[in-house]
Amino acid sequence: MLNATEKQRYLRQLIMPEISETGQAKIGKASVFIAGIGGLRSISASYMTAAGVGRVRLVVRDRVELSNLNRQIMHYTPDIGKGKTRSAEEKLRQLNPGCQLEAIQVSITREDVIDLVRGCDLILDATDNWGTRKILNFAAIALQIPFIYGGVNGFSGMVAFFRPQKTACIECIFPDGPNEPAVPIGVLGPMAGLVAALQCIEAIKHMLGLESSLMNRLLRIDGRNMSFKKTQLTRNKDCNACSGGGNYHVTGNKSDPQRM
Amino acid sequence: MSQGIKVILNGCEERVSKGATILDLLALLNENDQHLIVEHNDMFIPLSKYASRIVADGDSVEFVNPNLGG
Repeated sequence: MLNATEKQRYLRQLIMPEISETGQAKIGKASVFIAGIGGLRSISASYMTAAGVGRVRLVVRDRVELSNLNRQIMHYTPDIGKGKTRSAEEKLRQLNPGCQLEAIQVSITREDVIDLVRGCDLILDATDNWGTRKILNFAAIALQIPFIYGGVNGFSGMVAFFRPQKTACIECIFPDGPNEPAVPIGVLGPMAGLVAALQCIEAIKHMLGLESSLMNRLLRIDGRNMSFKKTQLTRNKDCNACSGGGNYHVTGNKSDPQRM
Repeated sequence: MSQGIKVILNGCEERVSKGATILDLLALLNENDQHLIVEHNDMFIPLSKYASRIVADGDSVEFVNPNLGG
């Protein structure tokens, strides 16, 4: 049951027939894992916290830099030099003290990702590189939880909802992994905001038990001509990550990030 | 001589030979990046199908760079 303060805080969600008190309780029981450096995470962590998600686990390791501030709107000029976990914690705790916030300052590795993610219901991708996405994909498959991909490049953005066993995974699309950019890529702040907001919509729908509109679809956004296109995806039967003999697995309580 | 077929390639109309494959279209644009997302009539085409996927008159094909920033 929501108390009077919570009813006021979530009033505009409670009015929605898709949410009401029943849905709000589901959101309140959900746990989200957000990995990434800032442009997407600033938005996704804020919306997840504001929506009343029960637990938000953030994993990030670097510090706030001046060049982050065009898109990482959780951090302000006086935060430059601060650890991003600390800066994020300060803002998010003020935003919604009722949310259990776990800000962890570590690098995500294949060896520890399962233990980092364990206990969360879904992964929101807010990373800026293929290597970490591959590790998160591994965790999503091993723990059988959705992985909501988001990526940005200048005026362009992409979103997809990957659900183990039911949809393609990100490695079905990029078996060898795309080339990592040699130099920092351009990111328009509002495009990072748009992509992260769309990821959050899909996350909340999942918490409510509503089907994702991006199951097996890659949403491609072009901000220059305001086009939104969906590409139909299919599972790769030979995918090393999610199919056939390449299945990831987890044994016991500790992670066993090997491939069978 | 055959007039070939018309396809919409990255938003522009192109005339290609009947029976052209995704691989032929990549060659037409001198596109060597194997990490592109290839979309044929709104369907993702995996790398393993590039040589066998034949395009038809009026089809739409796009080569898209993945977005990795965050």
